[in-house]
Amino acid sequence: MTARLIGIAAALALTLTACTPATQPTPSTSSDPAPPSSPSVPTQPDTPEPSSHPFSFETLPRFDGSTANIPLISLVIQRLTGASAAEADNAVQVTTTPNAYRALVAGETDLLLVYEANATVKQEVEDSGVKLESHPIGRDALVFFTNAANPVTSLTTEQLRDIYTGRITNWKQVGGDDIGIVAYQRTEESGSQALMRKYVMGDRTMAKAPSELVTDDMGGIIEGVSDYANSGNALGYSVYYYLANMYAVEGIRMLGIGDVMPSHETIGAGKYPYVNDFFVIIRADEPADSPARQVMEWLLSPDGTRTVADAGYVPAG
Amino acid sequence: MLWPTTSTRTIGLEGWATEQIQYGFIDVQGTPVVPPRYAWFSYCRDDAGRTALVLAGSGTAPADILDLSGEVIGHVPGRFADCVGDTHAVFVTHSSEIGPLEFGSGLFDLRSGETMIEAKPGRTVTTIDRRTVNVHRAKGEYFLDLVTGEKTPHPGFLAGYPDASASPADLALIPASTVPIDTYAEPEEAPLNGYLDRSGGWALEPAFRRADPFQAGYAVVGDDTSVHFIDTAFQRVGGDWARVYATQWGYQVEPDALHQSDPGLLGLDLRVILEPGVAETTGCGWSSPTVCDVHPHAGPPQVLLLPEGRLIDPPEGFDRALSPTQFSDAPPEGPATRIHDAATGITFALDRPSYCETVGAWIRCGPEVAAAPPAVYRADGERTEFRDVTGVEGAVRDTASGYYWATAGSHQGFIDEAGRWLYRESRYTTLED
Repeated sequence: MTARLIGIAAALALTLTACTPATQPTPSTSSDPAPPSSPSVPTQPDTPEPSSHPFSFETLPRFDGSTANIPLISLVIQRLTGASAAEADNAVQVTTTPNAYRALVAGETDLLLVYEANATVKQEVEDSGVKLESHPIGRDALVFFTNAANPVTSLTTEQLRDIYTGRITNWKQVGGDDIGIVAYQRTEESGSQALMRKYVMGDRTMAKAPSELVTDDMGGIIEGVSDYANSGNALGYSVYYYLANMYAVEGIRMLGIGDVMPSHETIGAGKYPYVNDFFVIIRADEPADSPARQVMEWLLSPDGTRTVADAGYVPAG
Repeated sequence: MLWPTTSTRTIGLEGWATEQIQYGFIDVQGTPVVPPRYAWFSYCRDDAGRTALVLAGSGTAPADILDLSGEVIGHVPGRFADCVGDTHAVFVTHSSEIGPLEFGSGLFDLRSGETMIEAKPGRTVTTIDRRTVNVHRAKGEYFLDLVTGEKTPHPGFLAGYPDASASPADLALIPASTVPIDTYAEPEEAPLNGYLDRSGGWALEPAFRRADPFQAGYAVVGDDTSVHFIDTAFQRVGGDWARVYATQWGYQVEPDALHQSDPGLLGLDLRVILEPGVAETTGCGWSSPTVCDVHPHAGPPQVLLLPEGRLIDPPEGFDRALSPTQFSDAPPEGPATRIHDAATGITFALDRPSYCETVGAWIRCGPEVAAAPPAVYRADGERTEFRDVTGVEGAVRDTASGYYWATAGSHQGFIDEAGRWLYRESRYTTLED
């Protein structure tokens, strides 16, 4: 048993000390009512007519990308192969923003639907010598959120900068209750952090998180983020689409920036300030008739733009 | 009972994508009572093998003690811990998170909440059985009876890690060596090993480079070139071998160290299941498979049923065994296209070539084509909505619960053997991007 303990301890210690894990809120409850009847779906998806769908799973390129793009990847697969929504959902497996870029460079995947990489990953891509071809296909935004009970509804970029550099530490300094701000941070590698750097922090040094939130202390973060659901003192950031459409934790409310609330409309119109495109990316040396390039061209066509919109995203302008 | 929910996050670790699991728990009503926050957990079981408490931890803070409602009722001082029955816990700390790890373990009383043995580097507490631990210190080792508190010093150093769930007869004799064996530094020359009895003396003086724990009344002893079995009376049994690999169901044996040949198979009772050199086997590994494939050098493929060790002929055209009654047409190292259930006579085609295995009531298949979705089938060939199912451990040790952790589309949760969702949650509960 001690061997097992030491093995677990060693593996976890190595993992937990070598990475800077993302901070993420933890749900207090997140259950859906169980469906009342058999969960079986039709044995086969509707068999596509050969002429109606340009791809099958056998010819489809390998997809990867950002978590927030999972619904889009699923809808793209449905429309290209004729697969049912259930089957396409089951086919989607992403490795998250930084790893997706690495997988594409390594030839382990063929096409990304992905958010912007951070500077480190961009440098890794450049150092690899692998040229990528990238086109914007949709628009999302960096959003900040707090507990719904927090009376603060909006912050300015300057206030956010001061919070994350440690100059502002109490919500009363930004019009809220007299309670300390627990400002969660994301890993430097994450797509959200890339946007945080781009729009808010630049090269500024972010304040060291409180001891219970230090980013190499996964347990402390996991324990602490339950505050998102339990109190109003936590502040976090992510991307709009994920928070609005995918994230399954209640009691979270997005904050406005300079009194502009993030919404489909304000992001589409460019009124919300932290708007950023997401992309379809392939290796630049993909042949003209390769599946990856064909899918990319389809995504850039009116059919692709419609698919981005139908999946609930704001198409790129 | 607390059933673990499993959330998988993909994190970047020095340029590699690594999956990190976080466990939460639901109770017997299917209500989530502990959000996903633990990196590990361990069931503490009573005398009957039934779960009484749960230890769980993040790996970065003292471990929690949970009752079966999910309430945290205490903490173990170590970041990692394992149960000794339902009364004590061995816990592990390490003094450095970066660089060489120095581990120390201690002993905690789950009932009183007191630390019985402080953890410090160089001290190792090892579970022998549910009422006995072995304590290693630089000056020597002793057995500690957790019921009486009696310490029994002995002259040896534990040579391995006993299986605390083994039979009392097997645990009556403990392999030990003449010098301490550092977990992370291989000694230049393997020390000699023998067997301690529980009174603290050598039942068999150290004379072997290898001395395995007893398993069903037999143990493997020997050196680098030759090994044999002994019984609990230390009599040689079962012949001499060049190599022996112990498994949960028996042994793989090789007769000749110089000439590579296909290993033979012996049962736990040392009966010969398969003579060496007559067939190649696949899937007969350490874990407890119910079947493995046998490819005789002459003659058609066969299937070996474990642990009984009976050879049967697979249905024609279905050489790969998935279970004692389910077979696929997969060629060696290739994907299957059809599954045959010998119990019902049903044969069905897979949607696409896949690598399949049985998981309780289900057949789980990973497609050969990377872009295609994994699939889970019922035994009658009906494809389900699930992309993955994993069996859930029962409340009693070594039993199956009859429940499965399943994922389907954007959801995950527990299902029963009929595929009904008992609990379902979104897969998107962490800020991962």
